[in-house]
Amino acid sequence: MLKRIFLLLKYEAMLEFRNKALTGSLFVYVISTVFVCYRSFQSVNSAEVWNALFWIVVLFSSTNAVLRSFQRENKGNALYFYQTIRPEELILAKITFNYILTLLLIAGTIPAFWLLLGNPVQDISTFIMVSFLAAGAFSACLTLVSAMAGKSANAAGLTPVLGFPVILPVLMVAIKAAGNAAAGMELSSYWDLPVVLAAFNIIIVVLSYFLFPYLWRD
Amino acid sequence: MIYSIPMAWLGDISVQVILHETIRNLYFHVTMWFAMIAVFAGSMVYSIKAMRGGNRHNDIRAEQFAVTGMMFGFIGITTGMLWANYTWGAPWVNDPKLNGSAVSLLIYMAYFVLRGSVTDPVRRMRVSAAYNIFAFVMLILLIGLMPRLQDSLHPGNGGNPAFGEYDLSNSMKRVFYPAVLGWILIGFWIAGLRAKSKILNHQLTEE
Repeated sequence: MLKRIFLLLKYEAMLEFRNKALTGSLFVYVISTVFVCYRSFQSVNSAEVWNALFWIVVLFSSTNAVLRSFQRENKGNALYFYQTIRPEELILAKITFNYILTLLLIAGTIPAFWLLLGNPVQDISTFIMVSFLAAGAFSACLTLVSAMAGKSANAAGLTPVLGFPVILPVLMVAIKAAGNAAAGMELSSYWDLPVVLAAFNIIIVVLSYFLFPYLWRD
Repeated sequence: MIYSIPMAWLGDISVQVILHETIRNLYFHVTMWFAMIAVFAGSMVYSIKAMRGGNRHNDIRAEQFAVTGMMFGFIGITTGMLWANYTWGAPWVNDPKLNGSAVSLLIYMAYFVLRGSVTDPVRRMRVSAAYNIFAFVMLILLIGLMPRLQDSLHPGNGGNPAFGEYDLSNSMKRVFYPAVLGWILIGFWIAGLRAKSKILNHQLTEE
């Protein structure tokens, strides 16, 4: 099973990176969003505003990235997959791939923020750890939701509508934990927040594992 | 529908006994939330059934339960806003419970949007059932997590005394718990009736 997931992962990556302009567009999206923030705010003085902006940009750019994961394939491919692999393998592969993609996006967002909006974050390693954990929950949640939205005629418009209310608990925990890290608080005083984020990852992946086969069946 | 008669009766009690103070809102506002969550839980159970069994009727039931839950949610928010206007001075304050309720309404609005935008009925059943289950789990997590993230203005949170400590006398408890139960059962009753009429409608149009 792991081997097949790995193969699927490779296939996903091949599809994604075959069209370099599309992958590049994700990063351009991030940079232009950050630039819009930079020009609208001129300068961000408080760490709280910085943090909130950062998470909004991350949320929108990861939505943008994950959105396409079920639109890439054509009907023939879907039929082929349907006969050769189990749906659980497919969703795990997609989640993993989207996780990697979101991590790359975050790795691009953080320097862009530092460059344009300054760096108020004091505890950088914890901040990065929190954003990596949140990225996992974001990508898993959005992958499942985009699979649902993909069943309708308007997948691009529906994914945020379905995803944002559901993702809100993750976002709130992430903002709180990242805000604490930005303020330079001791990790020991809020260690439970990263644990909650990790738990979110597990819960969402488990739910996707059980729900996706039903989505996929038709 | 056997359970509808004792249910309506219990509901009657909850409606009739009113203390003419602001605390009487306890019977309406607080019980609304219990009822909303219970009805949403019912909706999720029917979604699970619909997903596993592929029975269209369970899909209709899940939808109607969600509609009823939305109704309770709106009433809960309205009664809460009335109450908050007098006690906190504003109908909407930045309170985790208010935000939680707003999110739950958003989630179910999204659920209806999803239902509306998928045309194939079988596909709609599967997709909306999956979303319903997923969203309900996240909603429960959100409600469970909120207090950890932010203090609430609500009685019993963030150093505010709960009603239970001072005001909730035994006689009120005697009304409050049946009221919770009554509203939950009324919720199930309304949802059941709605589902029934929809199912009949569905059968009629199919024939």
